[in-house]
Amino acid sequence: MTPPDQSPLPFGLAPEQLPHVEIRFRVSSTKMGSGFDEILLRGNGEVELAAAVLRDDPPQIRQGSVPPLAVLRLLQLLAAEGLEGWDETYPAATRDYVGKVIELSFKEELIKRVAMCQTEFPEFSRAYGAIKLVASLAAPEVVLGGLFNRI
Amino acid sequence: MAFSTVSRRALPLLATAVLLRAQPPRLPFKLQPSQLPGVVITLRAATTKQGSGRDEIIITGAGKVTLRASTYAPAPPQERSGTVPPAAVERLLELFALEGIETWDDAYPAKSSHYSTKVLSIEFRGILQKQIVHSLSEEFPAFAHAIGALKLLAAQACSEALDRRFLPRL
Repeated sequence: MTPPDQSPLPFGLAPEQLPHVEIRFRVSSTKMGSGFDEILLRGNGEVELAAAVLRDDPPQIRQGSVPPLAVLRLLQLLAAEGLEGWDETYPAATRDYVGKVIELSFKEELIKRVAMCQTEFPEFSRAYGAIKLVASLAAPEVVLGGLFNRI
Repeated sequence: MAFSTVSRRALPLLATAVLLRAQPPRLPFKLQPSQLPGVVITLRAATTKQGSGRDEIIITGAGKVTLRASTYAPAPPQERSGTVPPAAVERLLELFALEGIETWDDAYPAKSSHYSTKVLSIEFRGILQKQIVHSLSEEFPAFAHAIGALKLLAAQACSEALDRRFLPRL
């Protein structure tokens, strides 16, 4: 593993601020009573997964951890894919849709929220894939199945 | 990497977690975890621009990551290398499987005469399991998920994997 470097982080964040950063990725649908899948990655390496099949179900929760460097690299990837320039909402063209939301927070304050309710564009998709991989390093069922229905 | 299970309904979910852990890994192309050291994943990018070079990320099942980049065709490539845990490569292959790599077409041809191409290959002991030649202007979501995950994993070993100055085509 290489040490942290000077590759840019989004929104002027500095590597030493990493412990206060959170990246949240949530997928839900407009289907009546539908639940959600969620990945929460903290800059200190903590990973929390939550999934509810139905809206009123208590979510199943898994916790794990990854090296903080993995989250740093994810932030660098989000910057490289252009997160700062993305719109806040990509509205659905139909009444029923799946919504994918990426949120970046610092010290519990929201910096950026992107709601994707239409076909993903490639940069968003690459970010999605990278988030999923980082989460899977803490909890393999992210890619093996058994917890999430939507991610 | 630590892993624990907590829940608001501890006992039923604990049982679920045990079941989840007992699930066999799902690698593509009927690969087994024991075969991981023989796997090589390669992502190459090039353009039709005359004399243009190419970018390459190579990840082996043993965890070796190599980046190669040449600015123009005759130039010797610059190279960076590092390592990641083999378990992380296993997660990447499982992600490929989940995204449906086995069902993807072998080629997504360009609709114009000048284009850039990404080629994703998976080999086992030197035998090609799958090669996807993607030359469309927009990657389809599942392919882009795979590319994002691959780049992120490569960057764990070599930060230049995310540096457009080093890999301008990826």
